Amino acid sequence: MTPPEAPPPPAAPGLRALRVVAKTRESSVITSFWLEAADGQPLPPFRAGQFLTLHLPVYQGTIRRNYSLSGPPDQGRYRITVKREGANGPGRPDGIGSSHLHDRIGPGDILQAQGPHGAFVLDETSERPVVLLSGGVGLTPMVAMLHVLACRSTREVHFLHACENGDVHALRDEVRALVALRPGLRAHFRYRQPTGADRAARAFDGEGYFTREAIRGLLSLDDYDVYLCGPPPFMQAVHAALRSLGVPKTRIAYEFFGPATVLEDAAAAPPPAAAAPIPAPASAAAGSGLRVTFARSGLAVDWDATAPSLLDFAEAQGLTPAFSCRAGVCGTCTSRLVSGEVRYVEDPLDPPQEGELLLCCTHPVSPVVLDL
Amino acid sequence: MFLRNSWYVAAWDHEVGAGLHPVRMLGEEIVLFRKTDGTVAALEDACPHRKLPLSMGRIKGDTVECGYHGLTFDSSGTCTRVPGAERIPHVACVRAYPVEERYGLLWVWMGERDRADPALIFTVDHWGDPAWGINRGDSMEIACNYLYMTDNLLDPSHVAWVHQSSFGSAATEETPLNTDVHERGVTVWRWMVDVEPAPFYAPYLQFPGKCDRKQHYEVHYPCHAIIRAIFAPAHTGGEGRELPAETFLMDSYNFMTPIDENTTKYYWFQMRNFAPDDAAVSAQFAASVRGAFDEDRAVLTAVHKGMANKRTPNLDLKIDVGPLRFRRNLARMIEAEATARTAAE
Repeated sequence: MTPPEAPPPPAAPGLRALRVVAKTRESSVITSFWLEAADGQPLPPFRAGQFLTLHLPVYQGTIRRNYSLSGPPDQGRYRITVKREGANGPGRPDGIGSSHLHDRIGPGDILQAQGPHGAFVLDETSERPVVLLSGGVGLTPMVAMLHVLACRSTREVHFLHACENGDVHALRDEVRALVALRPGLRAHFRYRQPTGADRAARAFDGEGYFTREAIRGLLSLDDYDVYLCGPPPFMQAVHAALRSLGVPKTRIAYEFFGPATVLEDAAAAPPPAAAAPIPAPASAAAGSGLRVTFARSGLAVDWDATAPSLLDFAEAQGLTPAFSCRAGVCGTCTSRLVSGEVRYVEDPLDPPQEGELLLCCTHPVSPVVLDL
Repeated sequence: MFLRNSWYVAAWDHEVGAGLHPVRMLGEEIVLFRKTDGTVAALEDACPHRKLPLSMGRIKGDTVECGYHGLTFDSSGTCTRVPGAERIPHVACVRAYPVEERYGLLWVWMGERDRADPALIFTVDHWGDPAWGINRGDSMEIACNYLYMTDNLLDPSHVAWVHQSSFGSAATEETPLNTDVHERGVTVWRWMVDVEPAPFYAPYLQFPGKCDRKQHYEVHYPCHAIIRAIFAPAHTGGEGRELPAETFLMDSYNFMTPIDENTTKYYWFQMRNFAPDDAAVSAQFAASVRGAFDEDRAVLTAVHKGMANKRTPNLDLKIDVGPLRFRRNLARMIEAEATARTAAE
């Protein structure tokens, strides 16, 4: 649309222009996009597990969608691996972003992106063995982690992946090649409904779900760092199975794909992404009665109704979330809303995604848990 | 990316005299000329034969004759003559653009012909009011995308830094801004109470001492602005209040025409509520405003380059709320127009 000699149109804040340099079909529903900086400079490294926020111009306006980076983190370019989602029920991704990418984006196209960001990252300082446990397209951050673990560490790694069958299984050969790089790496693929071709090719290692028994059969007794990513029902089932096997909550880091839900009982704040225990919440002060829990900081304080926003409130507790405009237009203070409800005192320029909020222009309307 | 269904200024009326006047707007080449009845016609500036600009040809009565092989077009774009051909091909025509002459400016409709309603041209209050003076404006070309200019015209804060010696004062650095998003565009405004008048305005105030000052920056889609400057005696100003008769009012009209994505033509004039016939005042205003806009031009040209070549992210601040909301809504309108156009094709 823009003539080749024209510079890119004025971009939204904090955005980086990325050029699609390759588009690879990974399965019948999953496609990878390799991205380089539009200005030709090498892209900065990211931490395995992080994601990009793409600003996609679609029919309804510009939408923002998060996609995990699935490639090695330090090659100066990025890869996202995207499943085409269908709108198939409440709480499911609507498929607008993924359809746009699958149908309309190809090599040479420019994408506007924020990030990489996200706190669900591989803890490279730990020396414990690692379990990378994923369902469906939730394997993408795990593949990035596997790249790092295979090439930069000597830790034992179990890459456990569940999906429907070989038709929808993405990055299978890449994972097999990575685990072949050194001893101590192992992949286990579990298909719910393998096809005849899968059986003939011996494409999978197990059939059915990752039940408690299946996991116990795969992992010997040890103190693992577990990373978990997939759709909510998968996450809930696997999280429960791991807990019943005695894996402490603090050893399980997780990321939801799709809307975030709470893994255990609603009252419990979920563990932070980094495997550190949450200190006991501060005693509740008298006030509004609306408890604001800063999960990562281990802080729970009653909302002060005179605070202009949750951002001001967080700062009053000594936290330092990133911000810029403090007026709902720049998106810098976007954070994860783990649970609870907020209302906007100022209309955000871009409505945040499901499960996120803009701290600078919100008040809580119920007890909230923030990923801060 | 431009909004097509809109009037844009193509030229000052006095710029189109006896000759052919080529202009570039929204990336399109257009030729303007006056017909024998004095009205102005606007045609696609390219003969359909070998695409020689018609502006290199000649005016023949109410028609334009191509300077290559004499193909001739009337003001509706219809070809009336193809020398040497027995019959005129039906496909021999050029696009004709609706034109309106208003406020001393020539306005061209860049969108669908049947939607060209002259009532949509930006309204200039007090036009023709004998109590109001006008300083006939000027124009300049600025090497920046037009949206950096709408940013600038929704941004009273820059005055304190870019126009320190003219429009700025200490109060323009710190007083908070209000942003109203309305159907036609966005308005950013503030009242500064009991402040020193800015240097540029001080000599014209009809009252002594300090003042209440309003900055009112209003931009309509796609890129037309009115900047209202109000100076009332201290403690008489405020939103919705009846202002004393000696209040200084100046309305500055700013019309941007994108030449292309990287260049913008800027037209402006000012209306004031005093000294209507004082040519010296008009000349002083014209010179000062021109000087201030030269300051803007230097900044905006460099901003366009800086943003196009940025190596690190830029950030948005609270003062950018108005500009960003304006950009967002305009982008939606442009998108909707493009979608409708695709659907119609």
